[in-house]
Amino acid sequence: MPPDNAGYMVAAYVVTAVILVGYSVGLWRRARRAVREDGPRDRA
Amino acid sequence: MSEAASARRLVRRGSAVTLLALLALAGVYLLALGFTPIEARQGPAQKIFYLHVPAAWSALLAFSLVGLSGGLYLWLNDRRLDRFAASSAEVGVAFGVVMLTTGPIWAKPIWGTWWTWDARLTLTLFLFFLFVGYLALRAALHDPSERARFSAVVGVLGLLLVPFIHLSVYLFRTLHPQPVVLKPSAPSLPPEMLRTLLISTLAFVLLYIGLVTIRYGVALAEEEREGRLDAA
Repeated sequence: MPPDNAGYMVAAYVVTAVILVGYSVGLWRRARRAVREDGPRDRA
Repeated sequence: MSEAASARRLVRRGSAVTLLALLALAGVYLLALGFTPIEARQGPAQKIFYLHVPAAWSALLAFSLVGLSGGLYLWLNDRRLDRFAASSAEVGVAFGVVMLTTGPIWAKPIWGTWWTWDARLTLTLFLFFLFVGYLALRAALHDPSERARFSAVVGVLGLLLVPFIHLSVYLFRTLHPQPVVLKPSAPSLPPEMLRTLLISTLAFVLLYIGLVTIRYGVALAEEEREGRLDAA
């Protein structure tokens, strides 16, 4: 009978999702800001 | 094509790859939690393996590439190598956070402790801090060529730590298990577990590619803006 430690597994999966999705969204927003600031010059 | 247009194109492509990678990672969650057997001795906590190991491999890959591109920058003096190194370091630190949080969560039910100061864990923590320092150094230096040169040296020093981390489980007595896949003999994992691990690794590598592409686009856009302000 395997030990009952599913809580640790759930915690690790939730933490990983929060870190990776959080960083991806943060970076995407930073990228959008950075390219928007460059926009007017590029179109000119 | 202007640098601003290149940055925009890179951010667009990187975003598409990142979205695809996050969807692939959602698939890995389904595969690992629903369709991969529970290991008999460790129980459900063993499934942390499918996130912890690919995150560790991706972080070490990212840090190794920082060192390699840093070394090449010192030789060739090509700004693109510096931009890539900065991007890879930042994404590597994000994967490092995953590695260093899932590791203790897995260790607690299996080893009975969140952390132990053995060679593998301590060297990995040092490597992580070294690259946090790398990012802090970059943020503190304003002259682009000085920033690129100094951080390239730190990146190369970080690269030298990577083989020690891989070999630490052979060189020192450690609680951390020895490699089950990256070893001279065949992987010692049941096929279903090996399949889930490899698919997860592919998803993490795809995420690395997507995030580094976006971050490279950001670096390009910021350099363009700095150049414009300097010229004004």
